[in-house]
Amino acid sequence: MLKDKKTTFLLSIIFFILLFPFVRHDSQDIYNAMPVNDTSIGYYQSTTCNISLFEVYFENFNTENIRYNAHTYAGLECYGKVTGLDKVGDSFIVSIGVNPSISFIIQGLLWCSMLLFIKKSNNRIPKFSNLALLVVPLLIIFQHISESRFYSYENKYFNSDFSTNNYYLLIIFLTVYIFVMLLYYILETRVSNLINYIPYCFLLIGTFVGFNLNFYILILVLLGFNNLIQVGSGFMFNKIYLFFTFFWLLSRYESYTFFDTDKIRGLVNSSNTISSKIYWILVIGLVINGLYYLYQKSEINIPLLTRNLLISGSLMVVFGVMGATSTLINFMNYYFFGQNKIGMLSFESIAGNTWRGFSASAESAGEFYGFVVLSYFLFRFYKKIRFHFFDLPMLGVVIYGLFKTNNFASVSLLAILIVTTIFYSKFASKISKRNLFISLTSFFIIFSILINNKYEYTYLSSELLYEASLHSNLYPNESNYIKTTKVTQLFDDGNLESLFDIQNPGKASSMLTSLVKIYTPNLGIPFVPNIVSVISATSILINRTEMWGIFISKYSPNLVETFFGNGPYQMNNYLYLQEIRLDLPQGRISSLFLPHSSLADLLVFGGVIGTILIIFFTIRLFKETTQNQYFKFLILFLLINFLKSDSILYVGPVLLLFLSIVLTKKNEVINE
Amino acid sequence: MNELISKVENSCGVAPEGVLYFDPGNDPNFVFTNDPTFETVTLYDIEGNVANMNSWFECAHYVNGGWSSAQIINFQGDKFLFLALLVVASVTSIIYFMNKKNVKR
Repeated sequence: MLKDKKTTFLLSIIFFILLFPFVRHDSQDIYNAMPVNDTSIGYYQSTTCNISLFEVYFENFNTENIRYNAHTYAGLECYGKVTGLDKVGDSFIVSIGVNPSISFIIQGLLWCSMLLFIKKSNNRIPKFSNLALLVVPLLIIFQHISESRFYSYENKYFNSDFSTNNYYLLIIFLTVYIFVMLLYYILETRVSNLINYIPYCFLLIGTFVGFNLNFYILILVLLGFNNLIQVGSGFMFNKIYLFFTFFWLLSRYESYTFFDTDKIRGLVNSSNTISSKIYWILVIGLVINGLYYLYQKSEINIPLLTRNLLISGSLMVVFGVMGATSTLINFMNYYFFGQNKIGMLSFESIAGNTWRGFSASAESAGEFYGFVVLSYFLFRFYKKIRFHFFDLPMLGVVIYGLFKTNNFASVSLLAILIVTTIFYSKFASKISKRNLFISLTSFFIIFSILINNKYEYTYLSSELLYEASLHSNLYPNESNYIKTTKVTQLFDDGNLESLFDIQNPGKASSMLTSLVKIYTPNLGIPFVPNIVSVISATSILINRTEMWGIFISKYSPNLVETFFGNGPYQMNNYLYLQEIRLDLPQGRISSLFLPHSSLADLLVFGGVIGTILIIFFTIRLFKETTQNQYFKFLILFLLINFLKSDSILYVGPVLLLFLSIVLTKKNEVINE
Repeated sequence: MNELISKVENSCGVAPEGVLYFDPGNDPNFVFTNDPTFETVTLYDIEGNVANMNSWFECAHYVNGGWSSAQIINFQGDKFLFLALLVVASVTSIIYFMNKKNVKR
């Protein structure tokens, strides 16, 4: 307790020092903050790098239409200060300088210090390799060179030359070098306890400002490097990964496309070059090694994990709400918690149905809140954890967050799994696992039939292909309206061969063409539903027809990519190689369209073989008998949710899935 | 406001007779008319971009938008930061390796 107080005190001091540039006020300064309005735009644009964030905020405390935006391209002299003012619509956007070179140091130091809160474990982990002090900084330097297009947009100091005067690269090297030493020092005695603090990944998101790098990825790379040195090819995964790497390097990268990373910054390749592909293959390989290392060392502490889940979940809601009410807190959330995307500035939902609040994705936030509630229930039910007075209000806040995200899938799954848990525990001796599985599957099928009953079979089975056709570049010389009319006519006539092979040869993506071939087989097996029809009906059931239709129209892999994918976290070929013409309102055309299914993401990354392998290992995991069988509900909950969301593109959900696997498989569980 | 007027005069000179500055706003059709009597002035922005001004009005508008005739010599922030980091890294290394040695013993 005393040590915790000391850590809190130390952290408070660090935090206030770090806050200083944003607060700084000089009474002798001739440049004072002015009310933000039409007449002061010129003033703020001509007095850049003089007025601090807090000065302008307090001068305009009661003005509502001001937003604060992180301006990464500004120099060090502008850190924490206003670098410009623009008017967009009725809102004023105040840009605040947050140079990535200095922010990297500040955020990294702050987040490393946060790790001091993790309880020390009795098991001291022997020897981390000193080689990482050299290799990991060089790896990050390699990223800066290979993703030069991304970094040259973000940092004015960016320079990829190899010279002793290149302070940019030297700063990156030294910063990572210091981080490695700090992390070694901190993790040496805490690595086995790290697992219990994974819930905080949703609160402290850890994406460095102006970097395509995440703090947790850095930690896992470090652990992964040590695992690689200790285990090497003895870890089966590494052999398979090496085999896949050969094919990933054969995938297309000749097109120098660029993805600005948007809300998945920190865990996606921005460029489509061979070097950036190599970087991401190395990093993800190390991350998986790091997870394996963590898995081996982890010691689950159920009561501690419960507290952390509740605290993280409720704080995420609280900070989301605070960010929605105060533009200053919104900016601070972005900077100090390392958000991928600035939080929401209102309580209004997007398109009337979701509120993402603190998180970059409403879906993954909903999944997390659902996970917190479900795990609390399971821990109480099976592990008989003690009830604490604060559990109830925290649970209430988490449930409020779940309600705001309006994640229907998460809520309904939560309800089903809770009921199933109670039911199964009562009748476990009378009902076999197989019967339970059959009952649950039958329930889902009957439920789906009831929901989809109002539609006719042809509509249900072909709607997904129809939607994909509407977004494809068919009839390129015709307007969208005529394209829709012709596509509709041919779908109504069931003449898909004419649509794709005769009237639009080579215009549809290879995925759409393949699915059409599967949908219209020469030989049909009676009573066995067509797989495309099943996917199509499912997409209607879970409201994913449009998103999956866009995915099918966009994804056009060649033969190698079909079987082995494009490589881990490589979205460029999917996003940009296939020419499409979206049938959407003008305002939505330039939006980012991710596949909206983690299975589809896997298909892009690992191809058919990679996806089948992962499905195989998942089934094996479910079939395996473990000491904590009931925690498989947590894995099931996440996996079903992942089927309809892009959650594997975010660090938090991936770590949450890892946590649920460790919970299920690990025997050494510390309990009250 | 006086601050701004003096900034404009420093970069663009005194306003020619009959020319009054007004904010053209965000009108996309607004065109700056060249003034043949105005000696071209080069302005720089904070990112080092360069623009040549062909009239006092244009120049005043740019100065209001944050440009200046004085080329801002970049603050060598990266160099400063590097030197600071070098010191920190050296000290941390000494502590780190000494600590490792002690643990071994």
